[in-house]
Amino acid sequence: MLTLAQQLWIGLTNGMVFALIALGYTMVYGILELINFAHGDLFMLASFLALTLVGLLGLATASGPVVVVGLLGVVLACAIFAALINRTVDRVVYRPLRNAPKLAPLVSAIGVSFVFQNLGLFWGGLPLDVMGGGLAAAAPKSFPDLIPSTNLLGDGAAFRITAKDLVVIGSSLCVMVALWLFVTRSRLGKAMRATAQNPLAARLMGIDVDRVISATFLIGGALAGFAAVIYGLYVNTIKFQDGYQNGLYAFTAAVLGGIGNIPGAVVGGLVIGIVRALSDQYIGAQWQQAVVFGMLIALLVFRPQGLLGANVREKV
Amino acid sequence: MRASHQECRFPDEKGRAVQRKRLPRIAAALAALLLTAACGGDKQPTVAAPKGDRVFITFGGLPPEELKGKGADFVAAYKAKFGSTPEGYAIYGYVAAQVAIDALRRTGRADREALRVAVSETEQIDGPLGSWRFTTDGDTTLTTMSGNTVRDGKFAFVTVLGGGAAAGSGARAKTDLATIGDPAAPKTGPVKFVSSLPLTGSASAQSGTIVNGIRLALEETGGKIGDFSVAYESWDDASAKKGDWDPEVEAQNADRAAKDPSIHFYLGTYNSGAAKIAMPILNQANLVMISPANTYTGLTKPGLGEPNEPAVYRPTGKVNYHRVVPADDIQGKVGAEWMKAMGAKRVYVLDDRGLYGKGIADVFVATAEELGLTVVGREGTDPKAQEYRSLMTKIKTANPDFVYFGGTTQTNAGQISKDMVAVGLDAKLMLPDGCFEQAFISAAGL
Repeated sequence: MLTLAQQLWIGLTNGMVFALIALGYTMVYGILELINFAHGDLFMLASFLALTLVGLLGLATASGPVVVVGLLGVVLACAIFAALINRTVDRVVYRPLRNAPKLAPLVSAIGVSFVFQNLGLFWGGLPLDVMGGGLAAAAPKSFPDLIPSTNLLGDGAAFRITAKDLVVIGSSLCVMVALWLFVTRSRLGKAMRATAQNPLAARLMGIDVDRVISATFLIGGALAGFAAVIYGLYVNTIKFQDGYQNGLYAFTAAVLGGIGNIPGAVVGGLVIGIVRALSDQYIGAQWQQAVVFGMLIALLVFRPQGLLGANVREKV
Repeated sequence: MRASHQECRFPDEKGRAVQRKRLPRIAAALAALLLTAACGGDKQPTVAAPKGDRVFITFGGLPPEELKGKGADFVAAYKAKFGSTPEGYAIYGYVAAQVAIDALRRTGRADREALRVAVSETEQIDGPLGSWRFTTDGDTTLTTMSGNTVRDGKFAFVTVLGGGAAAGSGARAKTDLATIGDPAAPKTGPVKFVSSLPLTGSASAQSGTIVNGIRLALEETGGKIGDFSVAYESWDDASAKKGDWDPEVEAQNADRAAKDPSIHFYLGTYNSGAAKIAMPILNQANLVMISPANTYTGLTKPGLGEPNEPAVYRPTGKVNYHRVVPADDIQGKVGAEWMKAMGAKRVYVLDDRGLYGKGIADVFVATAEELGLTVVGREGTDPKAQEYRSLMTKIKTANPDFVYFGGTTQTNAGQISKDMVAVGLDAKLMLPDGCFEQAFISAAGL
């Protein structure tokens, strides 16, 4: 029983990261019906920035309060960095294709994803200490363990809750609540929802749709930047292929929850995190991916709109 | 949605004000969380480091600093030339090249068949690795292994493991090389050596020192072997896409070497899985292949791998593949013996489901059971998984003294080591030689 609870806890923590990335997929899809395949790799680039900053600021050897302030700075920098890159990519790559067939931006997104991956590879080869001195660009990079992972319930306790878990879950929840409030309460959020429902009608109502789209890319990017720091702190290893791996899970999470549906992305992320953990415990580690994607297939067969229902635009 | 023109205009004064008020609140909440987390407990710079040694690595041979005689000379020459300490496999690159050079000297003709026979009859007396020869299957007769651990971010030698004569190590009759192959084959001109090793990805540091080892051996000849001039090309068998060796690239390399008549030696591969691909291609071209690092048993030894091994790698029936490192039937065995000697009783065995990783874990399990160790679990891992906390939590409930992982740095040994600590799994970790490289230490953050 305790083991089950422990695995649920681990799954929940991992699921938070997937959910944060999934939000970026689902928001862009909701507005543009574009599956932004470069989103996972954007997350990876932000994680490289996070590691670089942690290295430059010397946080690995700093004292408690310095680490907290430093990390807040890193979170902010990574969020801004990813947000700006995401918006720039939209302006340069996707916007000229706005009226092209849906396949064109999709293929471009895959192209952007490759560009990002190679940027990550290049970044990993920079002669920085945190990058392993730049000797092996593709090697996994160790992210310093800045938050203690000692058991808060005591060393011998059967259940394990660490400060690290609490930071991951707590900060992710704050961000998600903030996003929810923003989307439901703010004017820009309202404009986003309107654009998602019907871009043409939204434009007729005087909404600057291009601005709404830019804002969506900014917010999605910022979430990826935030997730990148959280991921680095939690998993403690980053590598240039992380974008593909996590992006795949996050995209699955978005589809699982109903793509275009914001709470759906969160639910999907958590479900995937938990299913992964339970499959490791009760089925076997080598079946993890088979179980996750098998579940996706089953869901798409029996409930194609996703768990919470997709935001399907009515076509007339 | 009913939205009037005015309400939805962006940005408007009211909307901005609302956002301004909220942002600091969110930031404050985040700060508070992080503060409680980082200052709540005693600050620890790394994951709670357990007392004493935790990670143990077996390696086929002795680590560079333990080498004696010509081996020590090699390490000194290497340091003088390249300004750094060689990784564990560098000396095998050096010896593999020496074997090739010696065979070319004895043959005196650039003929693939004659060179193949000459290589198989290699005998090194008091060489850098001591005295040894090849068995009829192309294995080295060396069986000396070492047990190592990690201290202060460096490998530290602990003990010598194994040793003694290998099966089929009796002296072999020498063939008159002049009677073999094409007597009209060229006796002068260029002879090309190529190596196929993963130079992209985290194995690149290890591979880089193997390449340096090969270079050192070739330079010692002064660029001339008999009347031949020596050329060497270092090929990469990894791709950025995989960050590890890539089957497609390895197949291309082998094809290219097989078709190029000026190439007479194929030094490689690093990964046993890659050898599996290159071996049949090179065998049909009758090109000598000498591996400085492959340890998977089935590549050479009948009856220890799959039923069709190693015949499936030798379509022509000739043995063109040789390796200068002891294979995993020895390494897996000494690993289990060492674990037993350290007082272990219960072991959980993982492998990366690759040819090498699963192969060595199989041998390990067989020996461990013979020695009376309890194997409390056996599982394959996903080498691409982000993290292994759930798996480690599961292992924790099985309460082992040791975890054995058959795998390499490239199949995530570093993350496994990290996540054991992250979930508070108080067991030691034993790894095979695929992790005996500095890249493992940096990936594991040890």
